[in-house]
Amino acid sequence: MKGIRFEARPLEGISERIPQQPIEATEIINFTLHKQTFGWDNRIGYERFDPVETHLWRPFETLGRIDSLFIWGRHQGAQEWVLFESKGSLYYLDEMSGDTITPLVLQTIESSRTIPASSEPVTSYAPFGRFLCVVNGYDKPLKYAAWPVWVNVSGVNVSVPKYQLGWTESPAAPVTWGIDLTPSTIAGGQVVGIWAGSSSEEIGLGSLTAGTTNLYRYKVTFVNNAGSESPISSGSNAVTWDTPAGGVGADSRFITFVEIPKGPPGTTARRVYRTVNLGTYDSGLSENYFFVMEVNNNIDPYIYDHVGDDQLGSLAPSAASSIIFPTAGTRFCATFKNCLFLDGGASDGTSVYWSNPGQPDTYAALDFFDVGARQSGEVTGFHAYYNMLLVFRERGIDFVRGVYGTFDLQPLIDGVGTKAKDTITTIPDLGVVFLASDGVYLIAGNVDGGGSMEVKKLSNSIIKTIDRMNTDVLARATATYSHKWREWHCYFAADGSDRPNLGIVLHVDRLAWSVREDFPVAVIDSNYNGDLIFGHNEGDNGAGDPDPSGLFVISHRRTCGQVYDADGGGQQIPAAVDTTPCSSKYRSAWIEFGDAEAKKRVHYVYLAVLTQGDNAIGLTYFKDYAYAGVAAPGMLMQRPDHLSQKVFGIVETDADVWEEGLVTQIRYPIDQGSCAQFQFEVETTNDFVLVGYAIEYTEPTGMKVITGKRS
Amino acid sequence: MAKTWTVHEARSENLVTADGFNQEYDALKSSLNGGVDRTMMPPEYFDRTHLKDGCFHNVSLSTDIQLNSSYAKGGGAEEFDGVVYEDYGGGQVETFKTTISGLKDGIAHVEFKCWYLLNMFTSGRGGSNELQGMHTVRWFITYNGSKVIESSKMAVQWGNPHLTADFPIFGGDAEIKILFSITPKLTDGSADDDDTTSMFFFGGGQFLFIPRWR
Repeated sequence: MKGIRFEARPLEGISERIPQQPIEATEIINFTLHKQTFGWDNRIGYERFDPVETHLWRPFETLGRIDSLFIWGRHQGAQEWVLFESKGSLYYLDEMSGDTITPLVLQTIESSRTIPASSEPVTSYAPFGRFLCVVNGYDKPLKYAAWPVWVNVSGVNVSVPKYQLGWTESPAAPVTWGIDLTPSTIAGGQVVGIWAGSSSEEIGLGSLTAGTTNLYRYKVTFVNNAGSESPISSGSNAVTWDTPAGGVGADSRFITFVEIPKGPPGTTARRVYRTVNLGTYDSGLSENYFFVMEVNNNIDPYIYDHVGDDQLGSLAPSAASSIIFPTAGTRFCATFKNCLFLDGGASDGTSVYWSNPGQPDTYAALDFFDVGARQSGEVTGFHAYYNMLLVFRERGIDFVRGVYGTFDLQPLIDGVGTKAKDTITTIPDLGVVFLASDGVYLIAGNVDGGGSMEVKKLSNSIIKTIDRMNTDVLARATATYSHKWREWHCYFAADGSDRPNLGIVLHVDRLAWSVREDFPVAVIDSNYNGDLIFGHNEGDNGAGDPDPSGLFVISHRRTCGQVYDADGGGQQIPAAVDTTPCSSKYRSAWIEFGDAEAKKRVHYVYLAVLTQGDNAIGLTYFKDYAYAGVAAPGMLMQRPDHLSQKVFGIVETDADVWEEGLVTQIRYPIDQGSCAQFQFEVETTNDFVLVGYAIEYTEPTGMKVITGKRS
Repeated sequence: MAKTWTVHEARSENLVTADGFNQEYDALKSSLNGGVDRTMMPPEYFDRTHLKDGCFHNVSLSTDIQLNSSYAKGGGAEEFDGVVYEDYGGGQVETFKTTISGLKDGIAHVEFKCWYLLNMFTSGRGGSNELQGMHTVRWFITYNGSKVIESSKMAVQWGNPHLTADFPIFGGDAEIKILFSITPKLTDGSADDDDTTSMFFFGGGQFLFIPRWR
C-alpha cells in the first residue's frame, strides 16, 4: 500500500496549546535558529569569560551569586566596562592590570553594599553622558565615570572615578572680611584694605561719594564635573563701610575679600553671586543676587571681588531651581530627553523625579510627578522607548512625553505591569518586551502623529512554561536582546526556585519560542557586539575544589560549562575542563494527520537535517499520548545514499577536500502498530541541525478509535 | 575591543567544514586586525622598546620667558623696567609664540607660570591722589587663534600666576601664543598716567605643553 507523506517544513517554535499545529513543537530545549535554513541548531553552549582552561575561574573564584550586571560600551565599542555585583561589592573588570597567570583583575568600585533579597530588585544602571548612574534604593546613589583608570604598578586600584549622585547639602555661606579704610595703619581682625581710585572703569565696590554707606552680601554655588550646579547657599554676613571723605581711600571704591567654601569631591568650580550695593537697606530678607565670577577650581579658599555693580552678570538661580537631592532611596533610573529620571524609593514609591537637562545632579523643587492617582501600584521601573519614557508599575504602565519644561504623564494601560525591571528590553522592529507575572508582553507603536500603541501578550504559546514561574521572585528575572543571535533571552526562577534557573528564548526572525535549561544564568546582558554575557547564579561555595563562578558567555562552544580537574585532563596542572554539551531536545507536536479518530500506521520518520558527520542521533517515538516511547536505531548525520563526507579523525590534509553541511533526509524506521496520535523526540548532545521532517504513514481501511469507556 | 569567544567548535567525527574553520579563524584574526586597543593590553606585556617615540603623547617646554625687551623701559632708580604708556595704548600684547608640528587628535594640557610686577597706582603721582586709578593685568593663551585661557584681572602689585587648561585638539600643526593686557592709560582723573613710567614687567616664565593622543 502506498504511503501517505506528511511534511512539516519550515518548523515553528514551541506551542503548549491544545491542539497543536503539526509544524509546532511540544518541546525545543537548548536550540538556536539556524540562519540559513530557519531550522533548529543545537550547536550552542557556554564558556567562561576568560576561556583559557588553566586560568580556572580567575578572577571570579571567590564570588558568589552575581546579583547585577551591566555592560557599558563607550566610544563605539573601543571601551567596554563590565560592571557587576556580588557579595555586596560592586566591581568592574580590569583588562589592563593583569598578568599572564590572571589577565583579568577585579577592581572594586564600592564595597559593603546592600545585598538584595531574592524578591527585591537589583541595582539599576543608566548611562548619562560620560557617567553611569548606579542606584539600588539602599546605598547612596553613585555616578561612575570609568575613565581615567588609576592603578599602581602592582595592579591595585589607587582611585576610582566615582562620585555622589545629586547634591546632599547646600554650600556653606561665604564669609566676608571687613574693609580697612586706612590701610596705611595696620588694623586688627579680618579686614582687608584695597581701594580702587576714582575711574571711569567700573572697578571696585561701593560709591565714590564720601559718606555713602555701602553694603554687600554674597552667595555661592558649586559646579561639578557633570556640569550640575548645586543648590545656592544662604547669604553671607554683610560687608559694609562708609566711603571715606579723607585719607588715602577718600572718594574711592574698595575691593572686598570673601572666603568661599570648597565643594565635595567632583566639584570643578564655584560660582559667586552678590547683591548690588544695598546701601542702608538690609532688611535681612532675601535680596536679589547676581553673578560675579566663577572660580574654576575647588582649591582657592577666597576671592578678591573687584567687579563693579554694573559689571554684574545674570540673576542667581533661585532656591527652588536646585534643591537637595530629592530621592536618596531611589531604586530605578533612566535617561530620557537629556534628563535623569528617578523614582522616589521604597518610602515614596509613586513619585517620579527628573533632573535639569544635562545636569544629572540638579533637581528643581517642582520637577516631579506623583503617579499614585490610579490604582496601579508603585513604580517598578523605567524604559525609554521611541519618543516616550515608559513608567512601569506593579499593575499598570504609564508614559511620559514632552521635553524639559513640558513633561506630562499619561496612563497607557491598567492591569498589566511588571516587577521584573531587568526584563524590559527594546527589540528592533518589534517594540518593548517585558516579563510580567502572567507572561511576556509586547508594547508596540507610538502615540505621535496619530499613531496608536498596543500591548499584547507574546507568550500564549508557552503558557505551561510561564506557569512554572515563581512570581514571588519575579524582581530577579533577567533578560536581554542580542542582535548577533537575533534572540531575546529571559531567565526566571521556576519550579519554586529562589533564583533564575530556566530560560525562554524568543527567536525574533520567526517569532518562535524555545527553552534553555542547564544555563546557570543569574543576570544577563549583551555587549556591543551582541555577545550574551551572564553571571553565575550560584558561584563558589567556598569549600573544596573551585566551583564555577563569575561571568560566562553563551557561545557556540559545545559544552555545558566546565568543572575543576586537578590533573587538567592530562595536562598535569589544574584546569577547568569542558563538560559534555547541554542536552538538546526537540519533541514534535502530537500529530493527528487531520483525523483524530482514524487509526494510522506510521512507517518512517524522515528528518531533514544538515549533515554533521559520524556522530549518531537517536530518535524516540510515541503513540496516543503515551509517557514511554520506543527508541529507533541511532543514525549518522551523513547522506544515506552517498559516500560519507570526511570527518575529523579520518580526513587527510593535502588529500581530502573541505566539506560543507548538506541538507539530506535521514530515514528512521517506525514499528509501533497503529495509532491515532503520533509524536517523536530527538534528545542528543551531538551536533544536530533539524531543518524539517516528514512522516510516511498508511491508513488501514476502516480502523478508527473504539467507543468510549462506560461508567 | 571586540572580544571573541567560540564561533565554531571542531569536534571529533564531525564534518571538516570550510565554513566552520573560516568562522572560527576569521573571528580571531579580525579581532587582532582591528580590535586591539590600549585598554586590552596589560602593561607588563610591553616595555620601552615596544613603544615608538611620541606614540602616546608629546612634550614641549619653554623656559626663561619674559617681557619682550623692546617693551622694557622706564624704570628709574630702584624701579623696574617694563611696559610704558608711550608704547602701549591698550589691548592684548603677544609676548610669546611657539609652533608645534606633528600633533594628533587628543587632549592638550597647557601650563604657564611666571612672576610679574605691576604698578597698581596712577603713574602720575602726587598729592592726595597718588593712590587713585587702579591698574590690572590679564593673561591670555591662544591655540591656533582660539582662546583657551583667559585669566581674570589681577590687581596685586606682584604675583605668580599659574594658568592651566586642558582642551581637545585636532591633528596637524599648532601655533600657541601667550598674550597679556594691562589697564590702558588713565586720562580722566586728576592724576593721569604719564607716558614714561614703567607699569608692568614679567619674567621667569615657563610654558609647558603636553598633548596626549586619543
